[in-house]
Amino acid sequence: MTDAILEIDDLDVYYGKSHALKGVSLSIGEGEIYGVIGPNGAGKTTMLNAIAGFVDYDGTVRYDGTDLAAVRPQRIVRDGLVYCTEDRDLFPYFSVHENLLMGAQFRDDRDGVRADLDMVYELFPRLDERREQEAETMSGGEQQMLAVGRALMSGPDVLMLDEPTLGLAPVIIQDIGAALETLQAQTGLTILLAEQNATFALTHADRLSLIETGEIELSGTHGEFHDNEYVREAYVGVH
Amino acid sequence: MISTILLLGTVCSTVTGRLGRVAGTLRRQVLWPVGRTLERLLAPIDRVLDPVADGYNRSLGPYFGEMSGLQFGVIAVSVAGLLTAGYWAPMVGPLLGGGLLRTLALASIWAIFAMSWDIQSGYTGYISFGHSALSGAAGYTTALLIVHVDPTLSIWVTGSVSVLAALVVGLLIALPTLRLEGPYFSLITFVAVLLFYRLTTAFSSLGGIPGFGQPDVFTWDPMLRYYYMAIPMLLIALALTFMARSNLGMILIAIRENEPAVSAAGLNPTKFKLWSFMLSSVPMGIGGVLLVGFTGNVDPSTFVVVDNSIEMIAIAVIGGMSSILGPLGGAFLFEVLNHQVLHGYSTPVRYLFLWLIVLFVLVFARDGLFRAIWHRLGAVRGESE
Ligand SMILES: Nc1ncnc2c1ncn2[C@@H]1O[C@H](COP(=O)(O)OP(=O)(O)O)[C@@H](O)[C@H]1O
Ligand SMILES: [Mg+2]
Repeated sequence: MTDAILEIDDLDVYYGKSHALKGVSLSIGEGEIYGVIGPNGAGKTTMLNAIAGFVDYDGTVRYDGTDLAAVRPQRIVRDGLVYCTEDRDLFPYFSVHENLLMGAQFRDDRDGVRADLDMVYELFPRLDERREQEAETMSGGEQQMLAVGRALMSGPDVLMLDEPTLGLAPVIIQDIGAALETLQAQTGLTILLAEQNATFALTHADRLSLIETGEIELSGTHGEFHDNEYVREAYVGVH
Repeated sequence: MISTILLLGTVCSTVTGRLGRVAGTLRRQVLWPVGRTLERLLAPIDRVLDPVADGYNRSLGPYFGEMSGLQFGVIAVSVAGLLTAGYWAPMVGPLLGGGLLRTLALASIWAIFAMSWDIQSGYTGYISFGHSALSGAAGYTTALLIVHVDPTLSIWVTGSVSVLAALVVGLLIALPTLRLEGPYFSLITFVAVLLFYRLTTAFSSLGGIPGFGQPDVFTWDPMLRYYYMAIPMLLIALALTFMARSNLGMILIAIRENEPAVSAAGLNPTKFKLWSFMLSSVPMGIGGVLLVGFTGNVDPSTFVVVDNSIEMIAIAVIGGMSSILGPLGGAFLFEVLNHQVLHGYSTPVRYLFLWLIVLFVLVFARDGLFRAIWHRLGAVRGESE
């Protein structure tokens, strides 16, 4: 395993009395795609929200060697840990192009921004064809691509994706999966992928964790998950 | 006031359904055919003006927004009209009841208020009901300086300090409130202006109800007075349009559209909301200083009453929020209707009529009249057909 770029150690999150995350620990290596799978309500989103600094937590989150406890959410984004939430976070009446530019508003490196724009349009030709279309009028799959594109425009070193395949057609899911692999191969991007869709996560992740009711039940490599009886029966539906 | 708003709200919500259908028919049967005819008539003009507009688009377009030939023509004619009004208004005025230059000067001041309100409330969606507190702060600062410090202070001194005062009051309102979400920001601005109003009426050292009569008007010459108001207004329009078209303007609209997404993009929304409030307070202060020079009197009912804040909103709504130039146009429409077209009627009747127009625009043309016209003009294509 390569050096860990994101380390989560003994993370606890409470919503009032309910204990949503119970001592979760993960270590994500630079350049890998790490999948976190688990059923609805398991705590995947809660974990990503904690890492991004949206909810309070006990335990530590280290990104690139820094403890994130005291770092503001916007600073975390600027430092390259970018989070693409389940809500997709688009600007409905902005065009595709404007949505992408919004992702790069805080950046000063004009050349870098231009290069990233080209990269995103190349990665998602569907967005290239729709530069002037308003985000609101796009299909769910196109919106998801735009959300990923917008996150990429912030120049991430680590990209956190929450349920990028939720409610999308199989062809679109394939396109998104291909895009993730291209990103990993060509730019060395680290991706933390939270998915209910275990098949998708298994197809693309190098290593995975299974989370159930706030606890990590299983962690391992792609191969180990692929061969695991319980995972196959409960989550992949292949017997 | 509040009960009026509630009443309007109830009426709106019950009547909109049926009105919507009537509006649909009206649009199909009347407006579309008229629009198509107009389009055919205007297309040649658009074609002629396109080369000029292209030149503008290449040089200044990136800073102030691109325009079609026709849009460019309308802006050019409007600016020329405003710049030469000192000469033509006295001739046209008598047809509209006289005093047109005075009305245009007043409209310029209200245009400043409405545009200033727009760059903050219209763009970010954090609606302020208290903007008259800002112009009020400027007006009262001018008066207090003249009365208590030195009556011979130059306008440059009193004016600068007054604009600064507007900025300070703006920060006082904005700093503690802009973190709030939902209706709380609006409610607090509302309370702020009510407080300010009671403050000015309660203490005779602040002039009480009659206010201060000591400040001098800039001039009694109607033509000069008009230009004193119109030139700053045009400069402010230019500056705010530039800001609105910049990245800053884009971020402000983004806050209105989806504030969490702005955070997710690594930007701090509160910081930008604060910027917009400051950007709004400065021209509000300038407008307040001009209003002193227009009326020569600083009192609660000219400067502070919450009706003033509501009127700014009404003007911006009529013209078209979050477009800067829409509220500018709205101000001229509102004031010309108020003081020229309706000049024979009593104040309550005039305002009844004006509020009905506001209601009409809210129901039938939510984007505002001038924004709607602007988009129609942009849709006329000279080169095709
Ligand atoms: N804001 C919240 N307030 C209270 N409970 C919450 C909140 N967000 C999530 N939860 C609860 O925490 C648990 C984990 O939710 P979540 O992290 O959204 O799961 P997942 O993303 O894996 O579907 C669920 O039981 C959910 O009901
Ligand atoms: Mg979730």
